Amino acid sequence: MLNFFLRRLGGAIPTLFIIIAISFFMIRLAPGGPFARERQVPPEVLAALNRQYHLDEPLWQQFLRYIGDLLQGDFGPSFKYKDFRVTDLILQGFPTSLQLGLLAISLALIIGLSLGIWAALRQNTIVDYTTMGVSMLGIAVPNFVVAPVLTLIFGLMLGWLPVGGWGHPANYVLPVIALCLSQIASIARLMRASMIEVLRSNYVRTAHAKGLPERIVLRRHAIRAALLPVVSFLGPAIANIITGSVVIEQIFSIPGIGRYFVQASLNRDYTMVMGVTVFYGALIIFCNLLADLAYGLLDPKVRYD
Amino acid sequence: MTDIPLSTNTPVEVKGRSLWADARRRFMHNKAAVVSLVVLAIIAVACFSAPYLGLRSPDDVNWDLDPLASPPNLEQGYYFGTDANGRDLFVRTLYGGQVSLMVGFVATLVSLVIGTLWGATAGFLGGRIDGMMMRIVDILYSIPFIFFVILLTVVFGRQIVLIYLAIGAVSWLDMARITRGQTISIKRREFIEAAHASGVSNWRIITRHIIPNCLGPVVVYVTLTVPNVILIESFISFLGMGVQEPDSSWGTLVAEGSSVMEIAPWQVLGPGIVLAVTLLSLNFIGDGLRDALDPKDR
Repeated sequence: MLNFFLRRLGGAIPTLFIIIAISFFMIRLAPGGPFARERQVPPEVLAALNRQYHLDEPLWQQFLRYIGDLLQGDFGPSFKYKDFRVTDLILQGFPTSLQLGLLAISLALIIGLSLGIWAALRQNTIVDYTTMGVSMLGIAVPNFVVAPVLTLIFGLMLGWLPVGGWGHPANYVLPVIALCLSQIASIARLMRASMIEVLRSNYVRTAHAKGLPERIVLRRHAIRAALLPVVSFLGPAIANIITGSVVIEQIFSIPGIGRYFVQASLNRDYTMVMGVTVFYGALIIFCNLLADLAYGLLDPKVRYD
Repeated sequence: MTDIPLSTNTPVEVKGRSLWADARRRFMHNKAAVVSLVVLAIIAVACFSAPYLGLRSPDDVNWDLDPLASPPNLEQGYYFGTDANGRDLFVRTLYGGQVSLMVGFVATLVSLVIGTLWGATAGFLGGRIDGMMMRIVDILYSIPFIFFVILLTVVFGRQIVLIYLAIGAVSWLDMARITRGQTISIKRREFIEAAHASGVSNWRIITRHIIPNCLGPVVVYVTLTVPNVILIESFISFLGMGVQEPDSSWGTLVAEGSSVMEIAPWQVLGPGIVLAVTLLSLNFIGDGLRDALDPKDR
């Protein structure tokens, strides 16, 4: 177990290094350098700025310095918000984004799994067709179309939920739904397919044959095995929710990391964009690691060594 | 692949059923897929023939409208209404479709080329090189590429071509995996051995024999990549980092529309629905093709 974990971790570190390296060198390739867009400054000021941000050192030294800082949890100074460190900005937005993401992924799992199981048990009935048809819609319609439409219906026409703002529980409803809808759809389809396969398998027939009640067959034999593909989809699902949160936070004006990221990109705040990329990259890698472990715990066929 | 009778005793009237004829027959039985194909064709033709249909220009401002942003009006021919600048949203949606569909096409092509070559090479060479190449794919899998595409547009400015290429360059991973799997199952077959024996170079075997024989699953995957890629482009454009005024794509139109949704809901509905219908059709076509080409289903 520990061995498996360590080996996975050993795979994650080069990935993280690649993320850092790509983003670092991409920024340094920027035509004209990070301060090119600012209004004309005297050369001595520019030199001072460059010295301040260590841009006058050789590239490899800057890279080492950046990695060294990262190891201490420092993403460097923000280029646009002069008195802020990127780390502070990220930490400020993270609790909000985390809440949003956790709510969305939990909801996606609960609803997606239930729908998938339901559709599989009623295969080729109207329940099945409706669920799968709607879920196709959920996959195809992008969340930035879903979000305005939901707001239009529930916020403006019916007036049930607030359109913007943050802090009150009612503010969470629309963003969370918009964020997790497509994941609900994917999980439901995945669960249905794997459930149907499992229900046809021999050991489920055996369980039935030995007279176990339906409920126990489902809970103890069918669902547990059918969960496996869904668990391996968790990594991508989490990544989708994280990327999705960028656009959802922007639409609903939620003060999370995603919104900072968009604003930083529009302002060409290089260190901030880079910081968020690295931070979210690390987060996604970490979640993939957890999903891998969960998969190993559930599937008796996976050996850790 | 082609209609070669298996034995000379078979009566001539019995027609061989080729994989593709079979697949076509099955695809045609799938109503959702066929309808989607027709819908998609209509949308594509409308978008690309928009300049020749005698419609308004997408930049025309109609100063007679009061207010400039007015709801759909069939009599005046404003099917989707007008935007805040009094421009015809229907026409803008068609022109935006050109950009979105082109992204889908170009980026998918890029990912197709990279993915099939990478996967076929890895699968064909096998051994340590295969392990290394697929390890790279594994590593790239867990990288949040959308952030990198955005980073790229931040650094190099918003050039459409760059965005096309960037999106293509980050969506080839699944294609590589699928091609590799297929290659491994093909490469032990006799005709590959024959090619080896007659001294054909590895590169030529990959491009002439392996890749054409992987086409089935790859075609399916291509149709599923197109909606994905369109989605990424509209995602980026929606955030204001993709296509720039006066050009538009479906993403920018939805973005503009959703910002004034309280007062002018039609501005988000028109382009939003067209985008959703296109993506839905592509998904249905992909699913239909998968069912049609999947040999497990026979």
